Amino acid sequence: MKQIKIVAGVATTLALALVATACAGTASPSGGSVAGTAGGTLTVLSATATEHWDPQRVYVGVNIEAGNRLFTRTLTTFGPVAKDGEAATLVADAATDTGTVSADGKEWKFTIKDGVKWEDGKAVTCADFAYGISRTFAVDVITGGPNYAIQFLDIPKDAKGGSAYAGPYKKTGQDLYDKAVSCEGNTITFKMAKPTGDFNMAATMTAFGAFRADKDNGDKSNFEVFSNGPYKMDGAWTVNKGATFVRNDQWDAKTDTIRKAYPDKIVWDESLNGNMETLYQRLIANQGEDQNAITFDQAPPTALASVAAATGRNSIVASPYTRYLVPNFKSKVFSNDKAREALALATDRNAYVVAAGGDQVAKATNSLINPALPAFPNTPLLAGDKGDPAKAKALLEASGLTLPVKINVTYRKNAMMDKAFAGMKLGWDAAGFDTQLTAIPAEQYYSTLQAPASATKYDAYWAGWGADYPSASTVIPQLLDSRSQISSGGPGQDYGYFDNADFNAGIDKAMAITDGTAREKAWGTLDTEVVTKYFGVIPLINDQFLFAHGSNVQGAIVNTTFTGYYDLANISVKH
Amino acid sequence: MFYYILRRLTAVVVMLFLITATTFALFFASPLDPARYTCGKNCTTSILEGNRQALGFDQPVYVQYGKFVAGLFVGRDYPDNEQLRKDFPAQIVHCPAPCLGYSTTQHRTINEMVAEAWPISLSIAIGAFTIWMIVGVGGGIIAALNKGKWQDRLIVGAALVGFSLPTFFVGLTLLYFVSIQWGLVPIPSYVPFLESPWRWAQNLILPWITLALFFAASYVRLTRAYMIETMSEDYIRTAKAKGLAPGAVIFRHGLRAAMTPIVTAAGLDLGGLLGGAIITESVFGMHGLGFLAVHSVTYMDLPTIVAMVMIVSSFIVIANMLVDITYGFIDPRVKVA
Repeated sequence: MKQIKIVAGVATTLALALVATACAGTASPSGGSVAGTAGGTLTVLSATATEHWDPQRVYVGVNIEAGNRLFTRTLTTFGPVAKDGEAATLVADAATDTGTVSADGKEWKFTIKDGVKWEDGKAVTCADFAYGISRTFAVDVITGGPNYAIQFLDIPKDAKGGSAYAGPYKKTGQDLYDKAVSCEGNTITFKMAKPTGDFNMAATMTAFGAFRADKDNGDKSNFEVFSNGPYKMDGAWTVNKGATFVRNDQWDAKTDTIRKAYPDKIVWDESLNGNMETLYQRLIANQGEDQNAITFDQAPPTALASVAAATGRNSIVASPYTRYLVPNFKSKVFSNDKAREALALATDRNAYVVAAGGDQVAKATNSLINPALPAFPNTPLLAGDKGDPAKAKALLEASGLTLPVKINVTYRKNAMMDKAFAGMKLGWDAAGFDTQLTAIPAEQYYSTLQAPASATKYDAYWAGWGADYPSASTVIPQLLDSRSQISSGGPGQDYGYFDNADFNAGIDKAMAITDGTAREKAWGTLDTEVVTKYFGVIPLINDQFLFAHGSNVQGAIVNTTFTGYYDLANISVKH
Repeated sequence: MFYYILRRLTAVVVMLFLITATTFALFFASPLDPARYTCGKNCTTSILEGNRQALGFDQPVYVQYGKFVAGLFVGRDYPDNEQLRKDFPAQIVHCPAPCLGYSTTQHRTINEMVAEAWPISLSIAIGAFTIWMIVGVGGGIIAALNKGKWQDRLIVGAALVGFSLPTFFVGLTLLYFVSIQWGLVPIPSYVPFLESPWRWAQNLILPWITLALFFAASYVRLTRAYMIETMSEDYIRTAKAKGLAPGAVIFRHGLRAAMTPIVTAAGLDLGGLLGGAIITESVFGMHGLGFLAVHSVTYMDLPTIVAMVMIVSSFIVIANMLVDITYGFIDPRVKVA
């Protein structure tokens, strides 16, 4: 009992601190209104090892952010914002505009600006973009990156869903690629397999960036940087140490309206790899050089209270993730429509929120799409945030199943999740389920979900997902399009084997809409449909990101639309 | 002696092969798919297959193990897949013998990673070893010679406290107060000895103290116990009676006889520590062999896991052998056969 009181006390204190800071943060968002100062050295302290700098292999928000703002200009990008969490606008970057789409949504054209150069002074050409994007197809060399190019471009696929084009090294199917991606002067044309109304948003990812063929060393290029942005790497990248980025004298500010490139140097220090607690102790202590430091690592639970109290040096923003529950349509229980509905009705999201640290750290949701996305439908909770076990029990009794209905629910193991699922179990059991919880270690979690054997082992899974760019086309089809996800090798990201022809037709319809507002509305409708009609997904919470920075850092603003991290475009150091 | 060392070295080699083969087998028996780690968020079945090929995990386990063993003797070229090397020669990385493998997460040979990490682990181990041997053995001698007096109680009490405090607690406390808050020493970051011996020591002093505090405590108790036992032997009384100087009695006759178990413990502790002080390295952000081992397990980097198991085992087995040989020098009654 004593322990419970202490935990509750800490949670309450933290929640109060967060409320106070959130209010203060709105008025003065981390120096967002302060004009930038040119010069000085910005330090990026990182407790997470960079996996890739190769633009086609980068798939982590931090590296998309840093890659795009420092050395990989993309055709389009999202502009910086004036305060934390503000919506950013899609703007042209290396291209002259945000692209032109054909009436049927199947052809996109971009023209590369004059004056965009590589660090050796050569112009960035259409061929460089075509070559860069082609590298994504070499899945046996260029691993880890997003596969949107394979999904979107009009290149035939084999029976296993792999592309008939094998990338620029093998060159198998090169003619197919050259038809799908072609250059005319400095204009690049993309032919899509299906209408893709938001391709210009996908083009913000560095995977759609340029790469010079003569600088390509395959896997050896993983940490090499050949810049066309305002900074270049000084020397080589050292794993677990990092590198220093210095000005690229070939970058022409006149061609770039996005990056202010204030600091003379950016020191990327990874020597704290694996040591998040020390990193935040240093940022909170704010001593010496650490006053010029930012981090892209979220504050660990041990630092939440002190980060929340560091007014003026913190950011508390909605994370791009939604945590949700997936009933398994292959399980005997949840192939039953009423049982899924009963599970949804009995789910106590409040237990999850409390376990996470209160409603300033997590918010209950009934939408799979994150609130940061224009498509967010804000579907009302079916029975408040605590659920309605009594109503759920009535449904379960009407389902034809014998009560108590045994179910096995999996989640990714950690102390917070243990508490959250123990709380939710009470609601499910009160509704007539006999819930067995299976906690799976983090490093095995998603590979377990995606193993074909899990289909007959578990009845429901916890999962989390964040959009890759602010279009719900990176959410709904990626999680629920059975045609692209489910194969003999497993469910892909459609962990619950949700397979509905009407829903898939709705996905095709939404993909084809070229008007942004109408398209996002269509995604929102599909979200509500899967949540309230099919009960194929039970959204749980949206959590928050907390960051801190040193006192000399100006313009440390989180760009939620772009990556959800501090935006390096306008950041500067007081010196 | 020569044949003894030869026999022991042969046993070491056989043991290492058994250990690596077991590690391979265990890795592939686990339900995890290492290719899933490199496949990215939006991973499909066909891309997963490509990843397996890129990593060399698409081949039978015995083939992979055979290539690993061959690499130790003749070196290897990466990527492992011959067709991939033919398709794009610019990406080939040569790993000279004894090739420990190619890291799937750090995208370089494990030989390079180990070459970077071992000076860090060696520096931590040697410094901490020196401190704990001086403090631990010295403290143990003082405590034994003052058995029952306040000096004994103080030293034994301090040793108990030192032994009770977990290394992560001591490390984090020292780091937070001595380095971050008070700024008495820099925030630890490894500086090679040849670059600046002063900065090398400055940056390593906290990891040294952290480890030495823990180990010294057990050496105080060990030395004290054996010294008390030895100092009550008849031959010590005889040495004292024939008028030998106290220093000669303590060090030449007492300590030398008490050294055998201390050397055994010291050899094994040092051997284990050379393979990396996992907690201390992690707390102080020192990327030595211990950190490398943790990182490779976290990210399912099989080649690095196998190499680390082999290296750590080697240190322990070799340390064990050296301890056996040292016995002969400490105690002439011991003969290696």
